Order: sequence, then C-alpha cells, then structure tokens
Amino acid sequence: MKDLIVTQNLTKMYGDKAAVSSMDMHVKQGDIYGFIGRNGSGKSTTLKMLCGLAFPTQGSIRVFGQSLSRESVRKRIGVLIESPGLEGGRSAYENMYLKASLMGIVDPDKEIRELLTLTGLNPDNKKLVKRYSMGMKQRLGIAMALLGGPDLLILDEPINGLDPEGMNQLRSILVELNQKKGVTMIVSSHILGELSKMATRYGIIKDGCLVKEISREELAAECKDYLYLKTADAKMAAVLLEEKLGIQNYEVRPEGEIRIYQNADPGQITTVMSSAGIPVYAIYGHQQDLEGYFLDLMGKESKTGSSKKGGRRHA
Amino acid sequence: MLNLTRMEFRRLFRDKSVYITLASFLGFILIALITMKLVTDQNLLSFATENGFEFTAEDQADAASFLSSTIADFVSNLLFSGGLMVCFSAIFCAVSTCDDFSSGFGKNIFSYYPDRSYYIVSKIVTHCAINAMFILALTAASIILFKICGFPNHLGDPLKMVLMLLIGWVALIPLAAQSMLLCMLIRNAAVASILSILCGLGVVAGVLETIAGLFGIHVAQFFPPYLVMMSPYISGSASTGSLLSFAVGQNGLGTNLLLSVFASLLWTLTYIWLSQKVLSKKDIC
Repeated sequence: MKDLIVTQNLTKMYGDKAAVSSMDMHVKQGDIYGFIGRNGSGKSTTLKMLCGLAFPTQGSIRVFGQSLSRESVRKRIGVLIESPGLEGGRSAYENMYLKASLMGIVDPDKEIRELLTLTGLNPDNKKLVKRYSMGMKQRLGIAMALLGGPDLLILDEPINGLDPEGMNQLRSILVELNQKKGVTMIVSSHILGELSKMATRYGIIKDGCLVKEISREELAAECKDYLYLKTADAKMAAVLLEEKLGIQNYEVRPEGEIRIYQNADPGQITTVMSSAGIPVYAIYGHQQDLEGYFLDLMGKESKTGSSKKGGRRHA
Repeated sequence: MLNLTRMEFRRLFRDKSVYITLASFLGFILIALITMKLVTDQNLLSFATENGFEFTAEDQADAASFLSSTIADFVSNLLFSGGLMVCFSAIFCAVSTCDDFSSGFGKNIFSYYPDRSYYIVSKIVTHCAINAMFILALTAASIILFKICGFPNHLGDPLKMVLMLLIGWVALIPLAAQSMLLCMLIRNAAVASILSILCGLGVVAGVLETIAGLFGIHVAQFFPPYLVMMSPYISGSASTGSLLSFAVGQNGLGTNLLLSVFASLLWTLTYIWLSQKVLSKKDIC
C-alpha cells in the first residue's frame, strides 16, 4: 500500500516550546491509524496541522501525494478536531446543511438524513444543538466529518463523551467505511482498548516526537504471550530453566522477573524450582494488551528519552 | 468561493437575530415618529398637555424644524450621520465573525478551503448584503410610516436620495473590511465591536485630520468615516448644489465625492489584504 500521508521533519513551535518535533509520519492508504500519546504530547497539534488548521513551523506535509495547500486535497478530507465545530443556535440538520452548502453539495437532503440516522441522530429533531449532550454533539461532529464521502478521515478523540453503545456504533461505522469504501483514517484516542479493536497501524507520540510506528501484526508479535515467573533467585532459576528444561527464549527482567516466550509447562517449572530449593512467588501466563505495550514504551522512553529530548531542544 | 458565500448568506439570512435587530430598529423609528406626531399635531399636543405632558420652546422648535425637513433628510440622519448603520455594521460583523472562532464552526471552513482570503471576501460580501437589506428596509419603513402618520414632509429629490443611500452603503464596505481586520487580529467580539465603532465613527480619521491640519493638510476625506458623514449633504439637507458640482468638488465642502469613493475602495482592498495576511499567519485553533 502506498503512503497517503507523509510528513517530513514536521515541527510546531509555540514560543520556545516544541509541541511537535521533527515528526516523520507515514500513514498508508487503507490504514486505520491509531494515534496514541499522553495528554499534551502533541497529538491534537499534529492533527490540526494535517488538516490545515495550524501551520507547521518547519517541515512538510504531503497528502495523496500532493501539498496540503491544494483545494483538491482538502476536499477529500473529513475532519473532527477536538470539540465539533457546531453552531449552537441551530438544529443538527441545519448545521449539516451549512457544511454541505460550503462544500457545494447540491441537494444534500438525502445525504444529511442518511448520515444523521447512521450516527444515531434524528434528522427531524428541531432541538437546538446547544441543548445537546456531549455525546450527541460528538455524533453530530462525526456525521459532519463524513459529509461528502471523504477519502481520508482525521478524527481527534472521536469517542469522547460517547456511551458504550455509541462507541460500539462508531467503531462499526468506521470499520465498515474502511473495509467497504477504503477510507483511510487517523484516529487519536485515550481509550486504547477501543482503539485496539479497529486500528490497523499505530503511531505513538511522546513529548512531540513520534516514538514508534507499528502495524497491528507487529504489535501482536511484540505483545506476544509469555509466561511470567517470579522466584527468590532469578539467576539460579534462569540456569535451571536452560539446563533442566531446555528453555532458551526467555528474558530476565529487573526485580527478579523472568519472562519465558516459548511453550513451557508451569507445573514442570514449579517442580524443578522446588526440588532445587528456589521458592516460586508467582507463575502465570501473560498476554500484553495495547495499553500495557504503550505504558511499557512510555516507561522505556522516560528512562532513555530525557537526554535525547534535551539534545533536540538545543539543536 | 461561491459556495462559501452561499453558505454565509444562508447562515446570516436565516439567523433570527438579524430580523430581531431589524424589528427593533423599526420599532425605534416608529417611536420617534409617534413622538414627533405628538409634538406637531395641535389636537394631540393639547391632549397631551391636558394630561400633564410638558413641552418646551425647544421642543416646538425641533418640531418645526422636523416638519420643514424632507424624508430623505430624516433617513440620512437616522442611518448615516446618526451612526446607526456604522454601529450596526461594526457590531454585527464582529459578532458573526468572532463566533466562527469561538464556536469552532470556522474549523469546518478552514479545513476545507486552504485559501483564507475566500473567507474574508465572502464575509464582507455577506455583510454588504445585510447592510443593503437594512438600508432599504429602514428607508422603505420610514417612507411608509411618514405616510401612515400623516406627516406633510416631502420625500426630497429621489435621485439625490438614491445617491445618498448608495454612497452610504459604499462607505460601509471599507468599515466592514476594517471590522474583519480587527476580528482577525483580536478574535474577541466585544473588543472588536468597540474598536470598529470607534474607527467607524471617525476617531482615528479625526485625530489624523487634526494632526495633518496643523500643517495645512486635510486628510479626512481620504478615510471611510468621512464618506458616511457626507451623505446628509448628498441628500440635499445642506443645500450644496447639484450632484455634478458635488462630484467634482465644487460643493462648498471642498470635497470631491469620487475621490472619497475611490479612497474607500482602496481602503477596502487594503483591509482585505491585511486581514488575509493576519489570518494566514495565525492558527485557527
């Protein structure tokens, strides 16, 4: 698949502070790109630059192989950044109609009704948007982003304020759009469990730097099952694992933890350790999820990243 | 840009606040004319006096002056020299523009249109249309209410009246553009409204005229507020002679109308260019 979004050295400075720093992002056609990072890590700023609402201080953005400053490119992008941009004094239908008319959609009634129904809103509801709940506003924001059938969707925290049913519904809509119509998406979210159910690739950002880009398959490989073993003597236990049980694929971690990445029988391991007089404190199978992977990565980066970050700022 | 302008038209002309404002202006005219009727009609005057109302000699003089003026004078004083249209245009432009940023609706526009000058131009075009609607509606309402109230005032020279309305409307174009620039710089409706009103009523032009006047140079005619204030003269209330004499500057004011119109259009282009520059330098959110 070819790259749909490519950023090179993308940087955004606010005064002396780099909100986004030298970012080289690659989003492939057909991806649902999960964009993950802590609060204030630069996710929203990056997404704002990707849809032309903020100007990069440095670097370039190419979307569909062209510059973002081309109108033909912008017309193919649907956007929901932070809170939905809505006119509170109008109904959902009227908000949709305004967006449709600015996009030049002729006779948009049918499309508006379809999209409002798809996102769980009533097209005939005359209630003013300012009286909507946060979840309803979010649904309307999503419907507006879908107007005109975009080829690329940029959604910043789209699940915010949605109830579990709404989250499920939104996920179904996005996955269907991706699979049936080939719509590429960048979705940022703090709800990693929800994101992991739909994303095909991930970009992980920390302090404005893109730490890692990884596909779902690569992530699954990195989060592979392991057997967790905690004993009184990790070094001795490691020797026993190798010599008595022939286990080679394992990792001794700090604080006496051992992670065994190959098939092994926990009962057998416990027996071997006990007969060697090494107390076993814990032994269980473990499957790391996206959240665990993210926290692990953030932890690693915190330990190694401080000097790197300082270097960048001085550069 | 046509789509954006169409959207702006739909947005503003389907906004209740436009019609509420228009209705309140009409109410204001009605109250003013009813008051004048009370003072100018002998039967109503004696009825009001019997019921405890007091009228001074000054009121009587005002009433006499009112009766000797034309409807065109009333309209020009109400709309232009009275500052109604300047204040309306400034406030309406500031509120509707800054709202795009505070409500976030602007994100829909700016994520779709990379050329931000489209936004500036479409906003100004829409505000010019709203101004035209208000000028025409208030003028028509004034003429009708004068007739309904039974005032004997003449309409005035229709040609001069049309020219006065046209020039007044043209003079509001650079003020709308100026208001856009202030909105782009400040993005706060209250502050932008106040500054737009002050600039629109000629505070900056007046200061510059005073300073330049010390050196024997007169610059006021090159600023848009002056054109607004000229409209009563165009309608004929200051007996400045023919339209032709006005146009070539032999009107007692030493003012060349065409030069002022040209200066206003030049200011409009300058404000549009500056607004576009400011908008292109600042992030939307």
